Amino acid sequence: MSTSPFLRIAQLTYVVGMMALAALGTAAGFFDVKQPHLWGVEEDATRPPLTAASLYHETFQRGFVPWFEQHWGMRGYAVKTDNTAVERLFGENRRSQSLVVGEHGVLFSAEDIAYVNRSDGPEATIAAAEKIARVQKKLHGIGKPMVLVLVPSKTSIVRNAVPERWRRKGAFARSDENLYGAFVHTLEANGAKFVDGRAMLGRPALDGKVFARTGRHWRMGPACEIFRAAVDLARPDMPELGDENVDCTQEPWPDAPVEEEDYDLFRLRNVWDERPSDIGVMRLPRKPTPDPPGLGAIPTLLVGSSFTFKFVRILNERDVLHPSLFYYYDRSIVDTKTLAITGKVEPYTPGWRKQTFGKRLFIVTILETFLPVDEENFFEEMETAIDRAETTP
Amino acid sequence: MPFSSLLFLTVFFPAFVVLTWATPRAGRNVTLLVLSILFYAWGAPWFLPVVLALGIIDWLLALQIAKLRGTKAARVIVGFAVTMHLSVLAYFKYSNFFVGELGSLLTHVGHAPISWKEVALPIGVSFLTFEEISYVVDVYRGEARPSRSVPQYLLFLMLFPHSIAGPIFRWKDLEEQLVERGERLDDVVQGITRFVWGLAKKILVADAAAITADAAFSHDANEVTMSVAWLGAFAYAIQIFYDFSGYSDMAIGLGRIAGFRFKENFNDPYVSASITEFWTRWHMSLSRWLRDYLYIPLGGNRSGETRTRINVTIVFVLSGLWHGASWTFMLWGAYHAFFSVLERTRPGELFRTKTPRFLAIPVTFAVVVIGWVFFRAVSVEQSFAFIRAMLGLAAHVPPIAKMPPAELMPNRSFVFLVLGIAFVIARATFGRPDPEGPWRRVYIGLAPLLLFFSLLQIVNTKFIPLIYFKF
Repeated sequence: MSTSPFLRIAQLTYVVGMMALAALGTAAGFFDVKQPHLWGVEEDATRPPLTAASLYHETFQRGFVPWFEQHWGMRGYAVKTDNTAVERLFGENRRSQSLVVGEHGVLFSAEDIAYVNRSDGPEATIAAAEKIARVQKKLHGIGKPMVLVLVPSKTSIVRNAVPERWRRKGAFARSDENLYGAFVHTLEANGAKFVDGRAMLGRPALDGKVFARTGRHWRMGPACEIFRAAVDLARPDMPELGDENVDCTQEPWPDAPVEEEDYDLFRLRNVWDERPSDIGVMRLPRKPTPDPPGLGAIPTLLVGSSFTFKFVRILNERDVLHPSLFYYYDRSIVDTKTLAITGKVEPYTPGWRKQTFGKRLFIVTILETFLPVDEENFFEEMETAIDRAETTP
Repeated sequence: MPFSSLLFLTVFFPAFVVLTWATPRAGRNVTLLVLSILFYAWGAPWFLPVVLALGIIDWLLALQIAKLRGTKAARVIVGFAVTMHLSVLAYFKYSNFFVGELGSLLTHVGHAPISWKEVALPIGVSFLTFEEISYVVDVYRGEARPSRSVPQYLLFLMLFPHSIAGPIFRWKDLEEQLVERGERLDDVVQGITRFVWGLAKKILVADAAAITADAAFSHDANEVTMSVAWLGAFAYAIQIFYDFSGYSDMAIGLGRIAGFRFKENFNDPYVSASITEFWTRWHMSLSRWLRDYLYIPLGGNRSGETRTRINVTIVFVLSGLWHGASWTFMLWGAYHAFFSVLERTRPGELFRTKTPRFLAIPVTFAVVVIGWVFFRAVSVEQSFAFIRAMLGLAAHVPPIAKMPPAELMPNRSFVFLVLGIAFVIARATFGRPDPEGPWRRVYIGLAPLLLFFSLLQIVNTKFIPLIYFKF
């Protein structure tokens, strides 16, 4: 068999080709071949120092493998090709634990899908709503208005795009009715003031305008409308806000960069597809002076999830409500001007009292997806500080 | 460094092929030994001196055994060697388990808990032990000659293709090949192709099936519906077969690249018509080892039916324990022992001989699938609860599914589960395709594509990005 020269050449070609295929990525890494960008963030793996001790104790191996995998020379090509192939062949994303491909190309965060499928009872949500209402009253009592904003889950707004295969089978009270209903009802029953973003944005007329099909977060327009509603809600307690509100007139942004939030789930797909051209990203035209002027210098504390970043942008685009800080739900403190993380929330310290109670207005966003609430620590700390009368900046 | 890791596939594997073939034939064993030591040093450097020392001791003992063969001294030496190897295995593999169990028992009767530092399990220690035992025993029995040199014996022990997951080699099977083997370009082609098909079985099929199996077994077993329980167990059956046989294919392929012809380790086990037959087709190198070095020395079937049944039970329970240090593995062994013994009874005999294969195969498959629950479950309680669910007797099935269908079985899992079982059925129906026949071109021609897609998946599964940093 192997005596035929033709066969021998074919065999050699096969062996060389297979070895080249196997070694291509490693070789490309040596030559630093340019690769397509992979979107999303991951922890940087660092190459461990090679010593006899690190080899013997396997710390080198344990550190080297993730570093090698992260720096493999064809990684960008491989990830994008694999993701594209899986989507085309199977109609799903390989990373379905974080990204779900819905009907009509609507993308969902798996966290939002998980919310739809939750079947836990409303007890914890009711307790949280009662506490929030109580804290709001206590803050009001010390002259600190707190506006609550309930941010809708994408699955509550674009319900029909959640694929049937991503819904649990059986009869159960859907969380986007059960938990949401209990939360809103309890807030109302306890006299809380809040902006129900879901009620405001859930109108069929707004279909497709609240969330881009390629994005996880709400779009600028609806976020601005809700922001206006929040300011309106605070106005009776804060005459200094004036009568005017921010202007939510948007302008089309045809050359919006792909880094825009409206594309965040598209980016996470990491496929070869071109960015969809029909998303219709909009923006608020930047105004260099406070607009309206009445909202200019009102120190504000924002608290909430990543959805709150849209509010931060409104503050910057309209140059209003500053100096302000943003307590991110994971306890990071974000400077709203620079978007830099300036530290971690350290409750009950003098610094914390100063930066928290030095603010005039509190705007707290609560994401429906994470009901009862993700900001539980904040409410707990507010209540404790007020009860201990430790609210002097 | 698993064969399916990126580091192995894109660095070690090409380096192995190139270095093996760039080395003049006379020096190839040296190259292979160096590569094998490097391979082992990467995975368990702290255990490497132990392996080398045991190998050298073994080699010396075997020389003595050969010299003294037929004497009582030889018997003593072989007894010492077997005890030594079993002690090493017991320490590294079972001490945590037994100390843990003893600690639980002592705590239960009011004694203070035992203070014990966990022993790390070195890679391939179970395979290594069995190979070392078979070597000294075969030399003692006169069925093999002792190795001529230490490096040659160390190469047999440490030859990297089999050092993680077998197959279990025997010195007498490889002795001649270690000296002289026909190393042809065709072997490299066949070896690479076999390796890649094994890789694809593991990466494309087994890992897809694992999604469903893992999802089903993540349920509280008391709340699993009958259909989910069967689906999970079936998916695991597909997963473990394609994973393990894929690994064996990779090992056989790597050996072939270096000119070795390793014995097959699987022979379409899911088309077995009885449990007895299953064990002649599943992990065959283990079955042969257990038969020759445990079952037959125990008396085999030469001492009456009762003794035979006892021997069968001992072999299976110890086989279970060999797979892992836990009660679930022992139960898995006992489960197979039960059916093997049952097949030796009159009704079992009737089943084996009178039932048409097309009926006996699915029945046997179902028995095997149920058995895998013990293998997969994390505790005895979970395994029994899961089997109860498979029988429709779950303690409490809630009115809603625990997870949406897409999470339990993504489309790709469904496709590969269907392909996985279709392949098994096709082999049962049409037989194994002739590797030298018309399928050869398809078999070889698909390999680049399989390597390509396997590599993509391996790279992509390690890329787990978030939209934003969680600060």
